[in-house]
Amino acid sequence: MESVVSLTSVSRRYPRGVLALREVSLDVPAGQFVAVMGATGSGKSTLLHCAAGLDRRTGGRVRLAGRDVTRLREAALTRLRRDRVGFVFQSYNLLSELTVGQNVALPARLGGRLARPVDEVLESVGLGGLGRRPVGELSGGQRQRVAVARALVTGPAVIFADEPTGALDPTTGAQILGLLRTAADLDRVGVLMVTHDPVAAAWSDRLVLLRDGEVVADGPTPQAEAIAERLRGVSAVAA
Amino acid sequence: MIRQALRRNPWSFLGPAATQCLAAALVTASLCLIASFGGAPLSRAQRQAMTDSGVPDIAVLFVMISIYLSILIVGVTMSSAIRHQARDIALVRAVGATPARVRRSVAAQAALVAVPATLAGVPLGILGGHAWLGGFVRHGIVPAEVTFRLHGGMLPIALAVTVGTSLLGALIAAVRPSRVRPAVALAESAAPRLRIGVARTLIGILLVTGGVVLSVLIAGLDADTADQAGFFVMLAMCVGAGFLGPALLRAAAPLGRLLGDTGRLAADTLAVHARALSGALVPLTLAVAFAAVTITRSATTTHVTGVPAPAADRWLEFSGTGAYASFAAIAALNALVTLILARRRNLAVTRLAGGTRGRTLAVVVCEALMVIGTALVVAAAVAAVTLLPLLHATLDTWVPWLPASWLAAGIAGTALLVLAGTVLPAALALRRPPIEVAG
Repeated sequence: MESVVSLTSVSRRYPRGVLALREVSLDVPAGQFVAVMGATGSGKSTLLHCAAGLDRRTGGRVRLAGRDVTRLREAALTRLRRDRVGFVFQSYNLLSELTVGQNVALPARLGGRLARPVDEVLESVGLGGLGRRPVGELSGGQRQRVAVARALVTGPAVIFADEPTGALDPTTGAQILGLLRTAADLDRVGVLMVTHDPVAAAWSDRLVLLRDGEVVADGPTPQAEAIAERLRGVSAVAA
Repeated sequence: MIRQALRRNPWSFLGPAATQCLAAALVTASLCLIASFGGAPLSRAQRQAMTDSGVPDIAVLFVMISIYLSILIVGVTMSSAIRHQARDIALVRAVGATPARVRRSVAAQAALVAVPATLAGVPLGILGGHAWLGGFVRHGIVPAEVTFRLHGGMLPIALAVTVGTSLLGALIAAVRPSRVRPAVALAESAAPRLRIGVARTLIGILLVTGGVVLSVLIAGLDADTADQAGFFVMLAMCVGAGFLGPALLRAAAPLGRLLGDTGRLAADTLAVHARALSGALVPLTLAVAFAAVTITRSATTTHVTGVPAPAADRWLEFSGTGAYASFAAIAALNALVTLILARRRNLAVTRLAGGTRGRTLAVVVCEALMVIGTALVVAAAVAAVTLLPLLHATLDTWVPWLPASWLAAGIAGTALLVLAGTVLPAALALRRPPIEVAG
């Protein structure tokens, strides 16, 4: 099956010589929910940014939704992101000046096409009837649901989630993770999530552990306790 | 808190500092004109001739206009700078600062910016006044014996105007964030209030109505009095338009929907930023209306009477108007830049949501077009209300006349100013990768 995200020996070196990613290779097939974990500074955010085309890799090859983004120009890359990729960030990244509905319709306002009606998507993330509310009046959990709705509305091939539950309590966080899980299972969306929370990672199908910019483990996701155990192991070796 | 706020947001105080500096320069220059005219060693006949020409009266009028303009524009920029701090104010309130303490620190901030800006503006005004007086002599408006003199009161008067107005503007802007409960203030800074205050609308309507009534009264007066009162009609209308600004912009927003998807996004955004944008609308309207009234009046006079006004008279009028219009234009420019800089993060979020750099910039251009349109329409209305009775009183006509090329130049100038204040800083802000800005 065609991978929605495919990294081949991807490296990312920052201007001062820091090597954040070392020849990382990773394939995410459609419908798979992948969690990337690692200590602070292990390169997990850089991995997500490079895979999503938000940051430029300095070595290797990145394919996103079937297209080689390595040589894609900025505008074309942005259009690819708009049409085929969804994002969920820890800090929500909604436009506080717009309403819930306007935020979800944003990709269309920016020239994209909506795969599903805004109201239907809002209904599916549990925000039915809140379309006209200003985003500023919502709770954190509701805001993150808006972000998920905005990520889903274009019918993306892949969703990138950067600590999506980092600012939420466990119950609210679980609801957001449930939405991502559903997107993977029902809509066959590939999900690549970066997190430091073993409980959040336990919702995934596959767990990738990073240390010093290298993949040190890649396999089916075990139980949360076992994840925490493995994570401690990786960090201990790193320290 | 003061030092922290100044260090953290040096940009947001650049605007007030620039307008304070220019205000001090304008007040100083016009005060020095008075001193130069009054102190010149003239023979009795020469002095009589100068008094008869009305030039000393015009200098007094210049001082008054400068002071009024400074109060208005410095007040507007200072209060908008403080409004950008609403979140910080809410935070220090939450950790235990009393409302009085917040007000004291806001006042100290205003003074801390205003005093050095004024001290820089006064020498600038001396230079400008020197050049201005040179023009008077060169055009034969005053005899060559009139030499440049400093006005003894320029420093205290300039300080009083800028510091006083800054304090007033800052304190008025701080009333709400310092008085409401911190939790409410924090929530509000996250989600700006959309409702436009009833008091605000009422004051706006009152001022505009007052301007119109005054203007109707002027139409029946003699030409000289009408001339001098015309300025106050314009001032009342412009301040009124400023109070009504958010409502006006929100009324203009639906027009953006005609510009397609990008325009609709711009319209939605504009409606929310209407309050902050009205800080740019007041000086913009003032600048355009000022220029429109002076130029149209001169053109109509030439057109109706068939004789162009003497070059000296034209220079006198245009030099004054030029100074005020540029002052107001600079204030408008800085209000627009401040707003765009405050929205850097939102621009980055738009990029993350799939907006290309060009698309995101197009949203800003659409917003700018709506601001330009609103400012031009409001300024044209203000200019018409000010000018028509004046034309009737002096030329006995109701029909203004303006060459098409001048009109086009005016529109282009306004458009250029607004685009420079919005698109340029937005384009610069968009150069950074969005993920770095939004995180």
